[in-house]
Amino acid sequence: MKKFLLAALFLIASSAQAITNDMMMLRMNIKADVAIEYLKSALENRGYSIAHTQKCDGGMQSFGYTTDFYRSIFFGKGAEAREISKAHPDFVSYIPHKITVVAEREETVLSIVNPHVFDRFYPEDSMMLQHFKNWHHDILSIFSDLRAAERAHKLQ
Amino acid sequence: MLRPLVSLIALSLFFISSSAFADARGEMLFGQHCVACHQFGGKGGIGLPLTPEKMENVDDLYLIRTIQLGRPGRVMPAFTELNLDDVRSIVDYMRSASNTKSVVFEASHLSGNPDRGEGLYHLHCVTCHAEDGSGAGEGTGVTLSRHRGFMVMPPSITNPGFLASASDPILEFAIKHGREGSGMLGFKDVGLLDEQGVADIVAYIRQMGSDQQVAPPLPEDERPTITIESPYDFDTTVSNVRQSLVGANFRIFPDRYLEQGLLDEFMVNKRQVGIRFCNFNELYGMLAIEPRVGVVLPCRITILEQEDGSVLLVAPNLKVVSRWFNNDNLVRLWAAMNEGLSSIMEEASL
Repeated sequence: MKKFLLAALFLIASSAQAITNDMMMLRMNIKADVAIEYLKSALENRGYSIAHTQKCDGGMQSFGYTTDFYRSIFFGKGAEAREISKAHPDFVSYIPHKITVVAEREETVLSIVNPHVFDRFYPEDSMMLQHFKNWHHDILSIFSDLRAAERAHKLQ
Repeated sequence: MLRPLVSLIALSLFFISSSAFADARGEMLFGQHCVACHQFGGKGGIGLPLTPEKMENVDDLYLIRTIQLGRPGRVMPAFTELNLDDVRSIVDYMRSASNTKSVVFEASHLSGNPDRGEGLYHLHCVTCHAEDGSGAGEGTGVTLSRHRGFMVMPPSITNPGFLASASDPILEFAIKHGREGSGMLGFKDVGLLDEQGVADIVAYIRQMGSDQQVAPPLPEDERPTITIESPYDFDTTVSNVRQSLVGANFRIFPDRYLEQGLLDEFMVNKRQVGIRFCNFNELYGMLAIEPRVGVVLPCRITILEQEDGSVLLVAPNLKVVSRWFNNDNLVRLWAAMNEGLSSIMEEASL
Protein backbone atom coordinates (compact mmCIF):
# COMPACT_ATOMS: atom_id res chain seq x y z
CA MET A 1 0.00 0.00 0.00
CA LYS A 2 2.82 2.39 0.96
CA LYS A 3 4.68 1.49 -2.21
CA PHE A 4 1.58 2.15 -4.25
CA LEU A 5 1.07 5.57 -2.63
CA LEU A 6 4.70 6.47 -3.16
CA ALA A 7 4.51 5.42 -6.79
CA ALA A 8 1.37 7.54 -7.23
CA LEU A 9 3.03 10.52 -5.58
CA PHE A 10 6.08 10.02 -7.75
CA LEU A 11 4.01 10.13 -10.93
CA ILE A 12 2.11 13.24 -9.82
CA ALA A 13 5.29 15.04 -8.89
CA SER A 14 7.00 14.01 -12.13
CA SER A 15 4.39 15.64 -14.31
CA ALA A 16 4.39 18.80 -12.22
CA GLN A 17 8.14 19.14 -12.20
CA ALA A 18 8.69 19.11 -15.90
CA ILE A 19 6.04 21.62 -16.86
CA THR A 20 7.70 24.48 -15.04
CA ASN A 21 11.38 23.68 -15.30
CA ASP A 22 13.12 24.62 -18.54
CA MET A 23 15.74 21.94 -18.12
CA MET A 24 15.08 18.28 -17.37
CA MET A 25 17.87 16.57 -15.50
CA LEU A 26 18.62 13.18 -14.03
CA ARG A 27 21.52 12.17 -11.84
CA MET A 28 22.53 8.50 -11.94
CA ASN A 29 24.63 6.90 -9.26
CA ILE A 30 26.68 4.98 -11.80
CA LYS A 31 29.66 5.81 -14.01
CA ALA A 32 29.11 7.76 -17.18
CA ASP A 33 30.41 5.10 -19.58
CA VAL A 34 27.82 2.67 -18.18
CA ALA A 35 25.04 5.27 -17.93
CA ILE A 36 25.38 6.21 -21.59
CA GLU A 37 24.81 2.61 -22.68
CA TYR A 38 21.65 2.41 -20.58
CA LEU A 39 20.53 5.70 -22.09
CA LYS A 40 21.04 4.48 -25.64
CA SER A 41 19.01 1.33 -24.90
CA ALA A 42 16.24 3.33 -23.24
CA LEU A 43 16.02 5.69 -26.22
CA GLU A 44 15.81 2.83 -28.70
CA ASN A 45 13.27 0.97 -26.57
CA ARG A 46 11.06 4.07 -26.73
CA GLY A 47 11.21 4.11 -30.53
CA TYR A 48 13.94 6.68 -31.07
CA SER A 49 16.91 6.30 -33.40
CA ILE A 50 20.29 7.52 -32.26
CA ALA A 51 21.60 9.81 -34.98
CA HIS A 52 25.07 10.10 -33.51
CA THR A 53 27.11 10.55 -30.35
CA GLN A 54 29.37 13.56 -30.06
CA LYS A 55 32.48 13.13 -27.93
CA CYS A 56 32.82 16.71 -26.64
CA ASP A 57 35.53 15.80 -24.10
CA GLY A 58 37.70 14.30 -26.85
CA GLY A 59 37.58 17.52 -28.85
CA MET A 60 38.50 19.63 -25.85
CA GLN A 61 41.27 17.29 -24.71
CA SER A 62 42.81 17.34 -28.18
CA PHE A 63 43.09 21.10 -27.73
CA GLY A 64 44.83 20.70 -24.38
CA TYR A 65 41.87 21.24 -22.04
CA THR A 66 41.21 19.12 -18.99
CA THR A 67 37.72 17.73 -18.79
CA ASP A 68 35.95 14.60 -17.72
CA PHE A 69 33.57 12.44 -19.76
CA TYR A 70 31.20 14.73 -21.70
CA ARG A 71 29.06 13.38 -24.53
CA SER A 72 26.02 14.56 -26.40
CA ILE A 73 23.61 12.06 -27.89
CA PHE A 74 21.51 13.18 -30.85
CA PHE A 75 18.30 11.22 -31.25
CA GLY A 76 14.94 11.45 -32.95
CA LYS A 77 12.39 9.85 -35.22
CA GLY A 78 12.83 10.08 -38.98
CA ALA A 79 9.18 10.61 -39.83
CA GLU A 80 8.86 13.41 -37.25
CA ALA A 81 12.01 15.12 -38.50
CA ARG A 82 10.66 15.11 -42.04
CA GLU A 83 7.21 16.30 -41.02
CA ILE A 84 8.55 19.17 -38.90
CA SER A 85 11.21 20.34 -41.35
CA LYS A 86 8.49 20.63 -43.98
CA ALA A 87 5.86 22.34 -41.82
CA HIS A 88 8.22 24.40 -39.65
CA PRO A 89 11.64 24.78 -41.27
CA ASP A 90 12.38 27.46 -38.66
CA PHE A 91 12.41 24.71 -35.98
CA VAL A 92 15.11 22.48 -37.49
CA SER A 93 17.81 23.74 -35.14
CA TYR A 94 16.20 21.62 -32.43
CA ILE A 95 16.09 18.44 -34.50
CA PRO A 96 17.37 15.86 -33.71
CA HIS A 97 16.96 16.13 -29.94
CA LYS A 98 20.10 16.36 -27.89
CA ILE A 99 20.85 15.02 -24.43
CA THR A 100 24.15 15.53 -22.63
CA VAL A 101 25.85 12.91 -20.51
CA VAL A 102 28.34 14.44 -18.09
CA ALA A 103 30.48 12.63 -15.53
CA GLU A 104 30.72 14.02 -12.02
CA ARG A 105 33.31 11.66 -10.61
CA GLU A 106 31.55 8.29 -10.10
CA GLU A 107 28.13 9.73 -10.93
CA THR A 108 26.48 10.91 -14.14
CA VAL A 109 24.23 13.85 -14.89
CA LEU A 110 21.92 13.82 -17.90
CA SER A 111 20.43 17.10 -19.13
CA ILE A 112 17.96 17.90 -21.86
CA VAL A 113 15.86 20.95 -22.68
CA ASN A 114 12.24 20.56 -21.59
CA PRO A 115 10.25 20.45 -24.87
CA HIS A 116 7.55 22.58 -23.24
CA VAL A 117 9.86 25.62 -23.50
CA PHE A 118 8.70 25.77 -27.12
CA ASP A 119 4.98 25.89 -26.30
CA ARG A 120 4.85 29.68 -26.21
CA PHE A 121 6.33 29.97 -29.70
CA TYR A 122 3.62 27.80 -31.29
CA PRO A 123 0.53 28.57 -29.19
CA GLU A 124 -1.97 27.87 -31.97
CA ASP A 125 -0.20 24.96 -33.64
CA SER A 126 -1.81 21.75 -32.43
CA MET A 127 0.68 19.53 -34.28
CA MET A 128 3.70 21.14 -32.63
CA LEU A 129 2.05 21.28 -29.22
CA GLN A 130 1.29 17.59 -29.48
CA HIS A 131 4.91 16.86 -30.40
CA PHE A 132 6.16 18.85 -27.39
CA LYS A 133 3.76 16.97 -25.14
CA ASN A 134 4.81 13.59 -26.54
CA TRP A 135 8.51 14.35 -26.27
CA HIS A 136 8.10 15.54 -22.72
CA HIS A 137 6.23 12.36 -21.81
CA ASP A 138 8.88 10.24 -23.53
CA ILE A 139 11.72 11.93 -21.65
CA LEU A 140 9.99 11.28 -18.33
CA SER A 141 9.49 7.65 -19.35
CA ILE A 142 13.13 7.34 -20.40
CA PHE A 143 14.26 8.82 -17.09
CA SER A 144 12.02 6.32 -15.33
CA ASP A 145 13.54 3.47 -17.39
CA LEU A 146 17.00 4.70 -16.44
CA ARG A 147 16.16 4.73 -12.73
CA ALA A 148 15.00 1.12 -13.08
CA ALA A 149 18.19 0.24 -14.99
CA GLU A 150 20.27 1.92 -12.29
CA ARG A 151 18.55 -0.12 -9.57
CA ALA A 152 19.10 -3.33 -11.53
CA HIS A 153 22.73 -2.41 -12.13
CA LYS A 154 23.32 -1.93 -8.41
CA LEU A 155 21.92 -5.39 -7.72
CA GLN A 156 24.32 -7.07 -10.16
CA MET B 1 -11.15 -4.81 27.52
CA LEU B 2 -8.97 -5.42 24.53
CA ARG B 3 -10.59 -2.76 22.38
CA PRO B 4 -8.81 0.29 23.91
CA LEU B 5 -5.48 -1.52 23.64
CA VAL B 6 -6.03 -2.39 19.99
CA SER B 7 -7.06 1.21 19.30
CA LEU B 8 -3.94 2.48 21.02
CA ILE B 9 -1.70 0.16 19.01
CA ALA B 10 -3.48 1.09 15.79
CA LEU B 11 -3.11 4.79 16.59
CA SER B 12 0.59 4.37 17.36
CA LEU B 13 1.13 2.45 14.15
CA PHE B 14 -0.70 5.18 12.25
CA PHE B 15 1.58 7.89 13.63
CA ILE B 16 4.72 5.83 13.07
CA SER B 17 3.75 5.03 9.48
CA SER B 18 2.68 8.67 8.89
CA SER B 19 6.07 9.86 10.06
CA ALA B 20 7.87 7.27 7.93
CA PHE B 21 5.68 8.22 5.02
CA ALA B 22 6.51 11.94 5.50
CA ASP B 23 10.23 11.13 5.62
CA ALA B 24 9.95 9.03 2.50
CA ARG B 25 8.03 11.79 0.77
CA GLY B 26 10.70 14.38 1.60
CA GLU B 27 13.40 12.03 0.40
CA MET B 28 11.51 11.33 -2.79
CA LEU B 29 10.98 15.04 -3.49
CA PHE B 30 14.61 15.79 -2.70
CA GLY B 31 15.67 13.02 -5.07
CA GLN B 32 13.43 14.33 -7.77
CA HIS B 33 14.13 18.05 -7.57
CA CYS B 34 17.47 18.55 -5.82
CA VAL B 35 19.79 15.59 -6.38
CA ALA B 36 20.58 16.35 -10.03
CA CYS B 37 22.41 19.52 -8.98
CA HIS B 38 23.24 18.98 -5.30
CA GLN B 39 24.23 15.31 -5.63
CA PHE B 40 23.36 12.28 -3.55
CA GLY B 41 23.95 13.14 0.08
CA GLY B 42 24.08 16.85 -0.82
CA LYS B 43 27.76 16.75 -1.71
CA GLY B 44 27.30 19.43 -4.35
CA GLY B 45 27.68 19.56 -8.11
CA ILE B 46 26.24 22.33 -10.27
CA GLY B 47 24.62 23.36 -7.00
CA LEU B 48 26.38 24.19 -3.76
CA PRO B 49 27.03 21.45 -1.19
CA LEU B 50 24.28 20.87 1.38
CA THR B 51 26.53 19.20 3.91
CA PRO B 52 25.95 19.32 7.70
CA GLU B 53 28.50 22.17 7.95
CA LYS B 54 26.31 24.30 5.67
CA MET B 55 23.01 23.24 7.17
CA GLU B 56 23.92 23.94 10.76
CA ASN B 57 24.44 27.66 10.09
CA VAL B 58 21.00 28.46 8.71
CA ASP B 59 17.40 28.30 9.87
CA ASP B 60 14.57 26.43 8.15
CA LEU B 61 13.04 29.66 6.88
CA TYR B 62 16.19 30.32 4.85
CA LEU B 63 15.94 26.86 3.27
CA ILE B 64 12.22 27.20 2.59
CA ARG B 65 12.60 30.61 0.95
CA THR B 66 15.60 29.42 -1.05
CA ILE B 67 13.60 26.56 -2.53
CA GLN B 68 10.61 28.79 -3.22
CA LEU B 69 12.50 31.78 -4.65
CA GLY B 70 15.57 30.12 -6.13
CA ARG B 71 18.43 32.32 -7.24
CA PRO B 72 17.24 34.37 -10.23
CA GLY B 73 19.89 34.30 -12.94
CA ARG B 74 22.12 32.01 -10.91
CA VAL B 75 21.08 28.48 -12.07
CA MET B 76 18.99 27.47 -9.01
CA PRO B 77 15.36 27.69 -10.20
CA ALA B 78 12.41 28.86 -8.11
CA PHE B 79 10.40 25.71 -7.43
CA THR B 80 7.07 27.43 -7.76
CA GLU B 81 5.32 24.17 -8.58
CA LEU B 82 5.99 22.84 -5.08
CA ASN B 83 3.48 23.79 -2.40
CA LEU B 84 4.55 24.72 1.11
CA ASP B 85 3.97 21.17 2.40
CA ASP B 86 6.26 19.80 -0.30
CA VAL B 87 8.94 22.35 0.52
CA ARG B 88 8.66 21.62 4.25
CA SER B 89 8.99 17.89 3.50
CA ILE B 90 12.19 18.53 1.57
CA VAL B 91 13.60 20.69 4.36
CA ASP B 92 12.63 18.11 6.99
CA TYR B 93 14.40 15.45 4.97
CA MET B 94 17.49 17.67 4.58
CA ARG B 95 17.54 18.18 8.34
CA SER B 96 17.11 14.50 9.04
CA ALA B 97 19.75 13.43 6.46
CA SER B 98 22.28 15.97 7.74
CA ASN B 99 21.41 15.36 11.40
CA THR B 100 21.06 19.11 11.99
CA LYS B 101 18.39 21.34 13.48
CA SER B 102 17.08 24.72 12.47
CA VAL B 103 19.21 27.42 14.06
CA VAL B 104 17.45 29.94 16.28
CA PHE B 105 19.22 33.25 15.82
CA GLU B 106 19.04 36.07 18.30
CA ALA B 107 17.56 39.24 16.90
CA SER B 108 20.21 41.61 15.65
CA HIS B 109 20.54 44.79 17.73
CA LEU B 110 23.24 46.34 15.59
CA SER B 111 22.65 49.07 13.09
CA GLY B 112 25.14 48.91 10.25
CA ASN B 113 26.48 51.81 8.24
CA PRO B 114 26.78 50.89 4.54
CA ASP B 115 29.35 53.63 3.89
CA ARG B 116 31.71 52.17 6.46
CA GLY B 117 30.75 48.69 5.25
CA GLU B 118 31.88 49.49 1.70
CA GLY B 119 35.48 49.99 2.79
CA LEU B 120 35.46 46.86 4.91
CA TYR B 121 33.83 44.84 2.14
CA HIS B 122 36.58 45.85 -0.28
CA LEU B 123 39.21 44.96 2.28
CA HIS B 124 37.89 41.55 3.31
CA CYS B 125 35.25 40.23 0.92
CA VAL B 126 35.93 41.36 -2.63
CA THR B 127 38.48 38.65 -3.50
CA CYS B 128 35.87 35.90 -3.26
CA HIS B 129 32.56 37.72 -3.66
CA ALA B 130 33.61 40.24 -6.37
CA GLU B 131 33.07 44.00 -6.55
CA ASP B 132 29.30 43.72 -6.89
CA GLY B 133 28.82 40.71 -4.62
CA SER B 134 27.96 38.44 -7.53
CA GLY B 135 30.74 35.97 -6.71
CA ALA B 136 34.26 35.85 -8.08
CA GLY B 137 35.17 33.20 -10.62
CA GLU B 138 32.90 31.60 -13.16
CA GLY B 139 30.09 29.18 -12.57
CA THR B 140 28.31 27.78 -9.56
CA GLY B 141 28.59 24.87 -7.18
CA VAL B 142 31.55 22.60 -6.72
CA THR B 143 34.50 22.03 -9.02
CA LEU B 144 34.35 18.42 -10.15
CA SER B 145 35.66 17.69 -13.59
CA ARG B 146 37.23 20.95 -14.81
CA HIS B 147 39.78 23.23 -13.24
CA ARG B 148 38.31 26.40 -11.70
CA GLY B 149 39.53 29.07 -9.35
CA PHE B 150 37.68 27.84 -6.24
CA MET B 151 36.75 24.37 -5.02
CA VAL B 152 33.37 25.76 -3.94
CA MET B 153 32.34 28.71 -6.06
CA PRO B 154 31.51 31.74 -3.89
CA PRO B 155 27.76 32.33 -4.07
CA SER B 156 26.25 35.59 -5.23
CA ILE B 157 25.51 37.37 -1.96
CA THR B 158 23.62 40.16 -3.71
CA ASN B 159 21.29 37.85 -5.60
CA PRO B 160 17.68 38.88 -4.87
CA GLY B 161 16.73 35.28 -4.02
CA PHE B 162 19.58 35.01 -1.55
CA LEU B 163 18.90 38.34 0.15
CA ALA B 164 15.20 37.60 0.44
CA SER B 165 16.04 34.25 2.07
CA ALA B 166 18.89 35.22 4.37
CA SER B 167 17.99 37.32 7.42
CA ASP B 168 20.52 39.78 8.81
CA PRO B 169 21.40 37.43 11.69
CA ILE B 170 22.24 34.69 9.14
CA LEU B 171 24.53 37.07 7.26
CA GLU B 172 26.09 38.25 10.51
CA PHE B 173 26.65 34.69 11.67
CA ALA B 174 28.33 33.70 8.39
CA ILE B 175 30.65 36.72 8.45
CA LYS B 176 31.53 36.28 12.11
CA HIS B 177 32.03 32.53 12.13
CA GLY B 178 32.61 31.59 8.49
CA ARG B 179 31.39 28.51 6.70
CA GLU B 180 33.34 25.36 7.30
CA GLY B 181 34.37 23.49 4.17
CA SER B 182 33.78 26.38 1.80
CA GLY B 183 36.84 28.55 2.39
CA MET B 184 34.73 31.29 4.04
CA LEU B 185 36.68 32.66 6.99
CA GLY B 186 35.14 33.56 10.36
CA PHE B 187 36.18 37.21 10.33
CA LYS B 188 35.23 37.98 13.93
CA ASP B 189 36.62 34.69 15.20
CA VAL B 190 40.06 35.48 13.77
CA GLY B 191 39.92 39.09 14.95
CA LEU B 192 39.68 40.82 11.60
CA LEU B 193 36.27 42.39 12.30
CA ASP B 194 34.37 43.49 15.39
CA GLU B 195 30.59 43.37 15.90
CA GLN B 196 30.05 46.79 14.36
CA GLY B 197 32.26 46.00 11.35
CA VAL B 198 30.19 42.88 10.65
CA ALA B 199 26.96 44.89 10.86
CA ASP B 200 28.41 47.54 8.52
CA ILE B 201 29.26 44.91 5.92
CA VAL B 202 25.76 43.43 6.20
CA ALA B 203 24.30 46.89 5.59
CA TYR B 204 26.54 47.34 2.54
CA ILE B 205 25.57 43.94 1.12
CA ARG B 206 21.88 44.87 1.48
CA GLN B 207 22.56 48.18 -0.27
CA MET B 208 24.38 46.47 -3.16
CA GLY B 209 21.55 43.97 -3.44
CA SER B 210 18.97 46.69 -3.93
CA ASP B 211 20.96 47.87 -6.99
CA GLN B 212 21.34 44.39 -8.47
CA GLN B 213 19.70 43.84 -11.84
CA VAL B 214 18.56 40.54 -13.29
CA ALA B 215 18.39 40.05 -17.06
CA PRO B 216 15.27 41.82 -18.40
CA PRO B 217 12.69 39.66 -20.18
CA LEU B 218 13.01 39.21 -23.93
CA PRO B 219 10.54 40.88 -26.31
CA GLU B 220 7.41 38.79 -26.91
CA ASP B 221 8.14 38.40 -30.63
CA GLU B 222 11.64 36.92 -30.18
CA ARG B 223 11.76 33.56 -32.00
CA PRO B 224 13.70 30.44 -30.94
CA THR B 225 15.75 30.43 -34.14
CA ILE B 226 17.41 32.92 -36.48
CA THR B 227 16.08 32.20 -39.96
CA ILE B 228 17.37 33.91 -43.11
CA GLU B 229 16.43 33.24 -46.73
CA SER B 230 19.47 32.90 -48.95
CA PRO B 231 19.52 34.56 -52.39
CA TYR B 232 21.81 31.74 -53.59
CA ASP B 233 21.21 28.13 -54.54
CA PHE B 234 21.76 25.37 -51.98
CA ASP B 235 25.35 24.43 -52.90
CA THR B 236 26.52 28.05 -53.08
CA THR B 237 24.92 28.83 -49.72
CA VAL B 238 26.63 25.83 -48.07
CA SER B 239 29.97 26.98 -49.49
CA ASN B 240 29.39 30.56 -48.35
CA VAL B 241 28.55 29.49 -44.78
CA ARG B 242 31.73 27.40 -44.57
CA GLN B 243 33.83 30.33 -45.78
CA SER B 244 32.25 32.72 -43.28
CA LEU B 245 32.87 30.28 -40.41
CA VAL B 246 36.50 29.79 -41.35
CA GLY B 247 36.86 33.58 -41.53
CA ALA B 248 35.48 33.78 -37.98
CA ASN B 249 38.06 31.22 -36.72
CA PHE B 250 35.66 28.41 -36.00
CA ARG B 251 36.62 24.76 -36.22
CA ILE B 252 34.17 23.05 -38.59
CA PHE B 253 33.07 19.46 -37.98
CA PRO B 254 31.99 17.10 -40.78
CA ASP B 255 28.57 18.08 -42.13
CA ARG B 256 25.56 16.01 -41.20
CA TYR B 257 22.28 15.76 -43.04
CA LEU B 258 19.31 16.67 -40.90
CA GLU B 259 17.77 13.19 -41.22
CA GLN B 260 21.09 11.31 -41.08
CA GLY B 261 20.93 8.40 -38.66
CA LEU B 262 17.16 8.80 -38.33
CA LEU B 263 16.16 7.36 -41.71
CA ASP B 264 17.60 4.77 -44.08
CA GLU B 265 20.58 6.40 -45.80
CA PHE B 266 18.93 6.14 -49.23
CA MET B 267 15.88 8.03 -47.96
CA VAL B 268 17.79 10.88 -46.33
CA ASN B 269 17.10 14.30 -47.85
CA LYS B 270 20.53 15.53 -48.92
CA ARG B 271 19.29 19.07 -49.47
CA GLN B 272 19.02 19.61 -45.70
CA VAL B 273 22.45 19.83 -44.17
CA GLY B 274 23.78 21.01 -40.82
CA ILE B 275 27.15 22.74 -40.73
CA ARG B 276 28.47 22.23 -37.22
CA PHE B 277 31.19 24.36 -35.74
CA CYS B 278 32.87 25.20 -32.48
CA ASN B 279 35.57 27.30 -30.91
CA PHE B 280 37.05 25.07 -28.21
CA ASN B 281 38.49 27.98 -26.27
CA GLU B 282 35.04 29.56 -26.03
CA LEU B 283 33.43 26.19 -25.31
CA TYR B 284 35.78 25.54 -22.40
CA GLY B 285 34.99 28.98 -21.00
CA MET B 286 31.26 28.35 -21.38
CA LEU B 287 31.47 25.00 -19.58
CA ALA B 288 33.03 26.75 -16.59
CA ILE B 289 30.00 29.05 -16.45
CA GLU B 290 27.38 26.43 -17.24
CA PRO B 291 28.15 22.69 -17.48
CA ARG B 292 24.90 21.97 -19.33
CA VAL B 293 25.59 24.02 -22.48
CA GLY B 294 26.04 20.78 -24.41
CA VAL B 295 22.24 20.53 -24.69
CA VAL B 296 22.53 23.26 -27.33
CA LEU B 297 26.14 23.27 -28.52
CA PRO B 298 28.06 22.82 -30.75
CA CYS B 299 26.60 25.53 -32.88
CA ARG B 300 24.96 24.49 -36.08
CA ILE B 301 23.69 26.39 -39.07
CA THR B 302 21.22 24.26 -40.97
CA ILE B 303 20.74 24.92 -44.67
CA LEU B 304 17.49 23.72 -46.20
CA GLU B 305 16.35 23.67 -49.79
CA GLN B 306 12.57 23.90 -49.74
CA GLU B 307 10.15 22.36 -52.25
CA ASP B 308 9.87 25.66 -54.16
CA GLY B 309 13.68 25.81 -54.51
CA SER B 310 14.19 28.59 -51.96
CA VAL B 311 17.04 28.13 -49.53
CA LEU B 312 16.91 28.89 -45.78
CA LEU B 313 19.64 29.27 -43.21
CA VAL B 314 18.50 28.40 -39.68
CA ALA B 315 20.40 28.62 -36.38
CA PRO B 316 19.37 28.60 -32.72
CA ASN B 317 18.66 32.04 -31.30
CA LEU B 318 21.12 32.06 -28.42
CA LYS B 319 19.37 35.02 -26.80
CA VAL B 320 16.31 32.80 -26.30
CA VAL B 321 18.20 29.59 -25.57
CA SER B 322 20.32 31.18 -22.84
CA ARG B 323 17.16 31.92 -20.82
CA TRP B 324 16.49 28.22 -20.32
CA PHE B 325 19.51 27.90 -18.00
CA ASN B 326 18.58 30.62 -15.44
CA ASN B 327 22.17 31.79 -15.72
CA ASP B 328 22.77 35.52 -16.27
CA ASN B 329 26.46 35.00 -17.04
CA LEU B 330 25.43 32.81 -19.94
CA VAL B 331 22.76 35.32 -21.00
CA ARG B 332 25.44 38.03 -21.31
CA LEU B 333 27.93 35.77 -23.08
CA TRP B 334 25.44 34.38 -25.58
CA ALA B 335 23.96 37.77 -26.39
CA ALA B 336 27.38 38.65 -27.82
CA MET B 337 27.74 35.26 -29.51
CA ASN B 338 24.33 35.64 -31.07
CA GLU B 339 25.46 38.83 -32.79
CA GLY B 340 28.43 36.92 -34.23
CA LEU B 341 26.20 34.07 -35.41
CA SER B 342 23.80 36.49 -37.10
CA SER B 343 26.72 38.23 -38.82
CA ILE B 344 28.03 34.93 -40.20
CA MET B 345 24.61 34.05 -41.59
CA GLU B 346 24.14 37.49 -43.08
CA GLU B 347 27.60 37.44 -44.63
CA ALA B 348 26.88 34.04 -46.19
CA SER B 349 23.69 35.33 -47.74
CA LEU B 350 24.90 38.75 -48.94
